[in-house]
Amino acid sequence: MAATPSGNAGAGARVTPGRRFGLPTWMSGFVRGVRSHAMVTAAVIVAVAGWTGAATAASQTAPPDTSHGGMAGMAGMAMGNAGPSGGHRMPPMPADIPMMPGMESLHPQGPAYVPGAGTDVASLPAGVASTPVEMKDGDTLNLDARLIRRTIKGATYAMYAFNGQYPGPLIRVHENATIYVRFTNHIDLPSSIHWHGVRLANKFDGSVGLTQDAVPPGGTFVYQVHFPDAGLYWYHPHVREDIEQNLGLFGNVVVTSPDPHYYNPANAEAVLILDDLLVDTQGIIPYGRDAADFTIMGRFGNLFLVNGEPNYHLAVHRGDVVRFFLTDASNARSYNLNFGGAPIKLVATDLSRYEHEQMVSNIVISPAQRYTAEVRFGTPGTFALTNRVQAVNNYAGEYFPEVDTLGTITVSADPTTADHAHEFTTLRANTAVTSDIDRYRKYFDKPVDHELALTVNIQGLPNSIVSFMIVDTMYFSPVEWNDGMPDMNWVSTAKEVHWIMRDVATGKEDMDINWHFTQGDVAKIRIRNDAKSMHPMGHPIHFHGQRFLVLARDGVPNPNLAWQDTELIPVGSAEDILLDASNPGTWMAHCHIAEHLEAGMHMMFTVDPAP
Amino acid sequence: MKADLLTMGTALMAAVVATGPGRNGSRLLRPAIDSISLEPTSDARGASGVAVLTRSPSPFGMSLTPDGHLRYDVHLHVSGLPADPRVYDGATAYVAWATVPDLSLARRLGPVAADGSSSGEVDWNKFIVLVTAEKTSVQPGTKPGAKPGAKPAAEPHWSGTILLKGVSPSTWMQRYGSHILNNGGNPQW
Repeated sequence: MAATPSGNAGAGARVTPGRRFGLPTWMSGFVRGVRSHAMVTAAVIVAVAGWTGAATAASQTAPPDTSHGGMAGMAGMAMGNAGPSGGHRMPPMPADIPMMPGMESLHPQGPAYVPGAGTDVASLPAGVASTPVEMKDGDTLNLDARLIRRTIKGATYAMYAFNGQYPGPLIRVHENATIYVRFTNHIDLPSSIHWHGVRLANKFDGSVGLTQDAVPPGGTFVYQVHFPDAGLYWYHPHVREDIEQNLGLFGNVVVTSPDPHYYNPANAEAVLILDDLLVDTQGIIPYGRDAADFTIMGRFGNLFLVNGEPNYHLAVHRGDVVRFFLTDASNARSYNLNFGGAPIKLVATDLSRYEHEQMVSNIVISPAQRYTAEVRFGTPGTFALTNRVQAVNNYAGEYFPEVDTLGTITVSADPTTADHAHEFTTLRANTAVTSDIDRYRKYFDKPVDHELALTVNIQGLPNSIVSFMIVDTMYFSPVEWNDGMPDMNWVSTAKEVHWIMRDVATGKEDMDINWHFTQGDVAKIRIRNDAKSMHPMGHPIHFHGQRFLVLARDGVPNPNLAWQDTELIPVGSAEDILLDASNPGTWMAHCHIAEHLEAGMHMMFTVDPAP
Repeated sequence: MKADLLTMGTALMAAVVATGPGRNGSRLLRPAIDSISLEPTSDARGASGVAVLTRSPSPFGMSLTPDGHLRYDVHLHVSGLPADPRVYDGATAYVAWATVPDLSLARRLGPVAADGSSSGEVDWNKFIVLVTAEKTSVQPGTKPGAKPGAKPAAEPHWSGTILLKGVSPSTWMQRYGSHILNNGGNPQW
């Protein structure tokens, strides 16, 4: 049944497009006023510099609206326990990484937010595992965001869910279908749904402040979602992703091609969403109510979840080929996935297959990215799905191997019922992909149309943190695989940390940027991640509503192209992307580390309809 | 060599600290993340070089080994070495190497060509790049993929004179735990 697309049913918050990110000038001059020896202990810092006093001042005056989505509707939402810390709790420190001196009394500015605070968690409905939903052209799906109760590893949490499911319903739909999604917001925050990667009509993109007002608590919005490209997509709110997405508001969309041989034959399919949640013995570490916390590096969790579960398990037969659809829904964490040494064939990424299939030994996936990979389990046994990285211990200045077991695949001795070994070892060239890309090759050598610099401005953090950050300026990993100093990261909020996308030609930053294209334009964009900023970090950059090719990384041409919507730009790197400006509207581009987005790292571009 | 690093690190850190707190956004002194300056030893005064690090090709942009080590392609360009390596105790070739900070492992990147270029791949967290003068250009080093602690290759690694050396940018990572701020000291800026 087709529904009539409608606008917002309630008055939500809107950010004026082009509005400049408000910097916390209320803290200016604070650092320079501190005497040098005051850095030794937090007590002295608080006494001299008045960090707590600054917090009070901030709460008594109207702090700048640092949310890209606007948070006017959050004024009455639940807070954590009142008290000197504003309800915040310091995240647990990893083993071997002690808390830095001077951190004991610090906490993020502003009050904390705890989902469902004041609610008897036991009274909440229990969440259930995700259920696939097959949708045909014209169908309508009712999707609501609500509080649920989750018990994970024996601990009970109040979390969010679409339709009470974790992740949200897995939507399966055919290419070129149009569906309607009636979204009802039953959580206590304004919200929306962004259809990540989908080249849909602009007004249904879910970008609060740009394409729609936020859907207030109790409000409804009907999305008309057209899927022009086969592939793997996901949906999530575009308001305070650091909270809403982190607490479970996400789900996948698998868009199937009419070509029955689009993928290789497989014995099974598995759709996996990776996520991590930051918890301690008391529950989920509270969030910042007025501004995101953990804004230096983003919130890295210590509880790994695959499809919302800490112990993902899959049982297959010997010789089975499994097609995995992988999505990184984490706020900040990039993964290096292994399937216990089983061979992996990389088939597709965000919006398309690759020109050529290729074998890989592991999969590197960053926030918001998707990969489709086929894995063959040729021998019986147990294969661990792991995240294996070289983590950093900033205290020791050393790397250490980190292995996170995300789940297991049990392979029985029984042979597969349909052996696809030959197809698995055959690497296909996807001529349809190459033919599509061929239309764009004439643009590969064109001059750069726009250049973006990714950088950061940090103002007003406690002196102890600033001191250590200044010391820690000699080397930054191209990508942060872990949080090597969570106590300092935690204290940083969107009021002090301003992540920047800067147009190199004009000097404009973030939402002051609004590039203009005409539908059909093909633009080369160079994105350079400033290695000399105060605290550089890799950024997964996402362009809404369009698709792009990664032409070159650090000047090295990309030999195997595919259409993407998100690309990780490591520290110090420059990448050239070719944007296919095919979809009219004013859109957002931003870093998909949720806390960086909240800390200002977003810009606009407009695609005018072809004349 | 560690003493050299410490000295250089202290000097650079002092320069960084001299920028003072609260000057966020200033251009902080920091070694390049993608290149290594190769400094001559006393046996090769006048020589110089650079090792440029690029990401090894990967469909993911970041190229990682299964256990998470970054994979770099290392491209060396050296100059100022005597045209005839025989001046170094009868050596016949200049060879580029990578080794780990405790020198326990070595990997032969390749011979230095007549134009001063050489290249290879490294996947260690922290490493040192060396150019030596060798009597043969074909000594095997540790096999790619070997990690610190692995059994060294049967053949010795470099045996000739070390002429140029440089440390990976990752070697500059600071240790918060040993910093004066972490030990009750007064940084006195």
